[in-house]
Amino acid sequence: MNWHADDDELRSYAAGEVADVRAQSIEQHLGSCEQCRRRLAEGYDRGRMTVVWSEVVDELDQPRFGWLESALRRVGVGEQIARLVAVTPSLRWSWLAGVVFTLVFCVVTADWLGSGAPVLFLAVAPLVPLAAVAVAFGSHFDPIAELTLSSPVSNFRLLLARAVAVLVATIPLVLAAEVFLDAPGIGGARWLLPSLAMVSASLALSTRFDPLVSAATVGAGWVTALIVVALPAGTARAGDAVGDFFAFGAAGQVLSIALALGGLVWVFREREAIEIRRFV
Amino acid sequence: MVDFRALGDDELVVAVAGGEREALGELYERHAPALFTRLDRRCGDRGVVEEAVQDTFVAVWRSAGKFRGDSQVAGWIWGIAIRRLIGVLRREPKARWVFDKRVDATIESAEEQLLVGVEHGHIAGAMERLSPELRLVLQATALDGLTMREAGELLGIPTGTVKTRLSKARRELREALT
Repeated sequence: MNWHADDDELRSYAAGEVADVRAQSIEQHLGSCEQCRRRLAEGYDRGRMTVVWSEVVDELDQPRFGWLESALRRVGVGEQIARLVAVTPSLRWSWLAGVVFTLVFCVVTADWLGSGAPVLFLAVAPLVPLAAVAVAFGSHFDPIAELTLSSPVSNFRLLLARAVAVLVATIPLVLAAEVFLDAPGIGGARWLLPSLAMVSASLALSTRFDPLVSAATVGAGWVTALIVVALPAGTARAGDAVGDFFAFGAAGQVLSIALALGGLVWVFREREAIEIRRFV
Repeated sequence: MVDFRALGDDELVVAVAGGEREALGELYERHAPALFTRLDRRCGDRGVVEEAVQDTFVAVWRSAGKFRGDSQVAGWIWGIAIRRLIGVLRREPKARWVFDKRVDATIESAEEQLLVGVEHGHIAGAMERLSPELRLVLQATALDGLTMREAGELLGIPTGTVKTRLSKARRELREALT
């Protein structure tokens, strides 16, 4: 250490009254001289110090947001909605991992079973988004259901926000699974529209019944229809029969769009009736 | 009960990593005044500077575990602070500092000149003769430790401009020194 800044000089430096080059040499010196730093600190504006320190403490006391919540807030989603969407049960890693596992299973078995349409995949793919939406609203799975109920966000907005978030998270997974599926003639994501129709229908039913019951009913209807189609065809031709199922054909796709839109309109009209219920 | 005031900076950082908020408070007491002053010279908006200092100590709290003992604590905190300032300026570009507005007319006394000479050798005089733009770029890179891109963000000029000004500054310095 060759020199120390004197008190007068430190004072005028702190007050911003020292010219550039001089200030730079003081700064370089302060970086390595504890003693001068201490003297600068002694005379420093206490008011400013206190205010900023209390802000530091406030920030340390704040809960930290998860990646999803911060991402949502960054793209301009409101604080309340971001929090409520982020805690959606079917957006948890464990749930998404379960979805991936199921899809892998469907794809792998389709390859094993060989010829014909991939029955299992076609049956399960549309159910994945449906199940995800059901779990998103089933308060059984919601760790903060009480908070959700008492939040000032309308149930309708919450319903839409969570449904969109869940669909955005799950549909690409199913689409990705389809890519790995080696089944010519059944590509083109024809399961998607029936799936959206079922989601919409179950949301519409949720205005009257428990969301889980609604989704289970719709899902059971889907599975029943497939069984009815597949059974008469016999084991050997069951795959083709499912592949030719009405919902995957042109008329079925159009009908699916109509059902999906109809369901949404219904949900919108009945938005006051939406309750996210607590079942024990 | 640990008396944090008796600890060295390195030990304080270790304590902060262990979740001691009082240790963070002591680091704040020691380093915040220098940060405020130094950042105030780089941004004219006191509110922005305060936000940057606030962010800095929050970052120190969260990343104290990553501090390696091979550098000075003061330098480490400064590195965080100047980048936090750039971060805040990114959100509030209007607060970017314009050098014309600065008070830069203090006349230095002979003693001060002498002190500069001791710390900086004969570079100080040469620095003085640089134009303010060149000096600023040199300050941001050589003295504040920023990359050219970061310096550009701090000063609100493109990276390319930083580059050309920096090489011009170097050339002028070299000429002045030979």
